[in-house]
Amino acid sequence: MKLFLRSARRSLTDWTDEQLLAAWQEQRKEACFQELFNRYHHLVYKMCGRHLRQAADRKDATLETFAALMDVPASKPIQSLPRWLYGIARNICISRYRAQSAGPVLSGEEYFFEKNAGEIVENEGLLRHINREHPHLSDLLPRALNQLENKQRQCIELFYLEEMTYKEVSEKLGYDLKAVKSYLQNGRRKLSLILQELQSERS
Amino acid sequence: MKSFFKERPCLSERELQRYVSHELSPRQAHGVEAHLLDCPLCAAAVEGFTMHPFSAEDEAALKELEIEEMPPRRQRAFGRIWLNRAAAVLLILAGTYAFWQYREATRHQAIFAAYYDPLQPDYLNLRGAAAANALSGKPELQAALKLYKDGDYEGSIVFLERHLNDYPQDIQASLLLASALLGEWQPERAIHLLHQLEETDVAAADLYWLLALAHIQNNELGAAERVLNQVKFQDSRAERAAQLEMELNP
Repeated sequence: MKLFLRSARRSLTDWTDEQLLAAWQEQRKEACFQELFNRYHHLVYKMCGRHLRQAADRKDATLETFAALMDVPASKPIQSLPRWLYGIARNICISRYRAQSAGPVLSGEEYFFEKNAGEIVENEGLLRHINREHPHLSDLLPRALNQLENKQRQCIELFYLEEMTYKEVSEKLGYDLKAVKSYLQNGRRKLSLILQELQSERS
Repeated sequence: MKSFFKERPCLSERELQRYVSHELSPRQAHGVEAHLLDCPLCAAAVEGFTMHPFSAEDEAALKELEIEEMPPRRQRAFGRIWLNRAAAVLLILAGTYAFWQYREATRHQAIFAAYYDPLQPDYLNLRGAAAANALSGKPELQAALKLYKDGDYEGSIVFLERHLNDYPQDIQASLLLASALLGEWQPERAIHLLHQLEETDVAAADLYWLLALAHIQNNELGAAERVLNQVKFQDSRAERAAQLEMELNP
């Protein structure tokens, strides 16, 4: 029986997030929820380390995040679980931070959270979407790249074309590591917008 | 530009640890960084992990999380309760079945023990001159009777067999041997011997009574019942036979 359960469990690791979520939301399959918890709890916990100083608070915020996931009804499908967990965990961390500070968030703190939130490319999924739904658009990439600012284009080409690491790009171009990340993120965002424009032009 | 569209799962705990510790190869590190640009959760986790190096407290908290009782696990606990109940019921059923099996397996033994009385051969009832005449010159038979009377069936079998080698027509000694064989729990030999005696003019009541008991000892209750029906017992034996039949066919 143990062997059977272990093999059943092993097979769940091959399921996609979407499959696991659907099985949980529609059929309340606990093993599926557990697999999602196993997949992401360490990331949520570490992410909480950005905002909460006490280990106990991070742990509570992690549990609260997954408790929220548990209650999401099947009528509210989750497109990207990591992104959803990130959003929920961030809100929980902010609430906890506010409660612990016993007052409204100061402008500096607000900036801290905004700054951290802004680091993520908003429409990051677009490139994936293009690849999945409109693979023919990949031929537009060279044109789109040419329309980027020089620094952003350099970073994107070295990172994606030469498959260099942040550090290697930084060393090659002489930019600060943070700046490389920033150029990459902003460049990707801009690239998405350009691709959208090119697509609409084509259609 | 292939890696632009590469999709990969989120970072495992070990991978994240190795990335932050710069233990990954440049190729692996690039794969992780491409994912970090795409995944807000992993990017934030890496940042959180880098900003505040983990303490032993964090390690303990993560370990606790791994065994944390999330509500689904509580539901699983309910499931476990049902599983435990089912296991208990199964255990009881298995126990009952085992007891029934044991009872069935030992039933014939219990019946045999309740109905077996060592046959009292005529030899033991002889007195005076009759006894002297019957036993004279038969030391094996004398020794066998003594041992049989004392309940040493094993010893009596040895001397009875020796006696029967010299006096194969001694039906009383043969019946005594069959009874001793049952006393020694050798039903197959007893059955074989008793079937040989069917051809003689041995008392049918004694013969079939012993044969029925031999079949019972051999766990052949149906055969024992059939044997009992072959003969009409008299007096106290008839009463015992009726009781035994009822016992065999409850």
